[in-house]
Amino acid sequence: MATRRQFLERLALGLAVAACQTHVAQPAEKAVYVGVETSATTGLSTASFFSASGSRVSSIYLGFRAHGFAQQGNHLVVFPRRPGNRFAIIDLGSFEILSVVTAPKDRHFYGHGAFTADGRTFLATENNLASLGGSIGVYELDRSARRVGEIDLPLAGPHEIVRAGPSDRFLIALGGLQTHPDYGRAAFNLPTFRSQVISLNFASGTFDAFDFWSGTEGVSLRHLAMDDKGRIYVGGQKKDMARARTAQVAWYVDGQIVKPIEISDLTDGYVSSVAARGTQALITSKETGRVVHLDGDNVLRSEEIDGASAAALGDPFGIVSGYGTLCIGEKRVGVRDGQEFDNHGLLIKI
Amino acid sequence: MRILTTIAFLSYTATAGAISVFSDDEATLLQQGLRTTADEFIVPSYAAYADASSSLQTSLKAYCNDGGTIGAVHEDFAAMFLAWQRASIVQIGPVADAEGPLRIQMWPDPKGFSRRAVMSAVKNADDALLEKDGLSGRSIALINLTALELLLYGDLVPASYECDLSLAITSFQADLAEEMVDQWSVGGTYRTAYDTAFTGNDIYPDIDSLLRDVLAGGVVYVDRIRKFKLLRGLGSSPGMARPERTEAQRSSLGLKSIEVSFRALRDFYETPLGLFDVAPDMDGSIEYFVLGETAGSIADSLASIDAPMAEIAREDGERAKELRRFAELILYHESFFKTGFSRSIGLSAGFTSADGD
Repeated sequence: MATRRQFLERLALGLAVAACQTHVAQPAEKAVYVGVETSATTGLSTASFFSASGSRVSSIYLGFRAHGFAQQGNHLVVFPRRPGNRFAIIDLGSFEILSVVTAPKDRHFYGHGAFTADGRTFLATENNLASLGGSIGVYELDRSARRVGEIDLPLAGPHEIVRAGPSDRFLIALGGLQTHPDYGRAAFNLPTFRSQVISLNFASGTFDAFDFWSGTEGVSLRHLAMDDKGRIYVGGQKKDMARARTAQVAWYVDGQIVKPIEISDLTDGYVSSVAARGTQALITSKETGRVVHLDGDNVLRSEEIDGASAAALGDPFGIVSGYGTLCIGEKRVGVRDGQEFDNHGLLIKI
Repeated sequence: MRILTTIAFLSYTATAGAISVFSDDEATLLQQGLRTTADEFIVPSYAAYADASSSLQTSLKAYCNDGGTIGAVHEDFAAMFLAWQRASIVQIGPVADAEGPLRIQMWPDPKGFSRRAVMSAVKNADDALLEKDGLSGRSIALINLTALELLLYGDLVPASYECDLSLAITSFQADLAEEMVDQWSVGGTYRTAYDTAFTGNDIYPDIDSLLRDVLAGGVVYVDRIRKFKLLRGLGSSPGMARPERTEAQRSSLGLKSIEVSFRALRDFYETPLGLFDVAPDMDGSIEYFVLGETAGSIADSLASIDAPMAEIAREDGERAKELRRFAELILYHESFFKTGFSRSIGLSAGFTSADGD
């Protein structure tokens, strides 16, 4: 007779599988996904590579707490969680760390980056510790990475950056909060901060701002993705309870139309990750353990996985993870002992 | 058929809410322990902070009106400062609102934000800061204990702007303390959510999430003792001490602050029938008792040292060596809060949204 805990573990397995309703049609044993497993004891991460069948292809200990990824060909850049100041470049052919690059003095990373269309340069979101302003570090990639420039941003706290389409136009979520690692995660401008999404034309170095959206007062916008129709999905976190009137933290942009996505009850003031592909998007929330499937602002369905965090959508499959479970199609992969899956993951092509 | 099955399954999960790893009996037991910890440790700790800040208001009013002594002011500040060191083991509830615990003590402050905020306020002598609620929404650098210590242990002249600003900061802290006592008292807004976590509510979908937050707060607390209160000034080995980086140098309360923190750890663990004390009834770890006793012994050792922390760092001798050893022992507490306790009761540690990005 199963104990209650065994029953719940089986139930969690069922939920986890149900949360991943996409199918896998890839040859086994080739890495298709990279996620982060972080030690609950040390807080340090491993980049873990999985095949479409759910097998572990490789694990690379990083020595810092990892956050987001960016891939270009055989190179994978693993960015650290704020306020980490090192990123790693991994060779996807040999699964070796080619180099670990340290941020300049008075800078730290915010956890995300994106490659230019030609793949020779990538942009990383950074904090300027002298001014507490946001900036973009510009890096040229070879076996290592060389910092070749910097772009000042109009607001503090840049977080996720994604390339929007085939040109070098980038979307950046500016969280708006001024922080300094010497003061933990406290924000110095909490009562007054604003957050917005901007578009960077990398070639010209110019920005287009998406204005400040009504209802984003007190909300820090952190994650975003664009689907193949050019529709943008944005997720934030409720930070200033005095100004954030509702638990609304997700928005959708289609051309000139900006709308809140009505999933407050499914995200409860916190979006962990946003992913988009084709005509669909995924939004996850650790607060509620929900994985929300969207087509524009239409909620298609939602499922539950304990500690819903990483989400990745590709062709033809999607992958999500919670604290202890990674779902690859019908496969359920448990996290390594003493570890937890962290906020982000990436479908990779090798 | 497969699709129909899936839909049925999902519609069940949509109404089932969060999934706790605990049985109803286990959740009830843990909830009882948490309530007792709140009643016997948390509420009294906040009440002590509220009382001490109220006393400082009284002695400051007297001093600023030429009717009291600076000695009485310093004595009341010490009580308030140390009461906060004890209460700050609690990192959940109203203290986590807005900018969080830095609203009460912004230290370390390597950029000198508090010093700059105080200098700017004094230079501008803005009377608006002195009005009731005049500090609401102002920079946390100005409203916290570090700023207050700078003012009280400078040349505080009665009937001066500095005196009035000190009183305004103390009053702000007293209001904050009262708010925390109210919210934590039975029937208070936060306390109601805390007390009902085992059945789920808007803040805590299950008791698992509350436990994760409580334990995460413990990690922050012991990490702060080790990295900041001990090693920031002493360095990790002889020759690396930096006396100017120790806590509360002006008031010389740095060492007492560490002693109080260790004693708070002991009392937090050993609250009779509190969270850690009831957990062994469901096979939870009994390690808490050993850790509590060790913390108490360290507090006793610290109480016997009669020297400011900055002097110990400057000397960088046997006493510094002993304190560095205490810093190493703290790692056992960190491990217990991070994984030891949670694993013993079958709970995954859970990187929560509180540490998310």
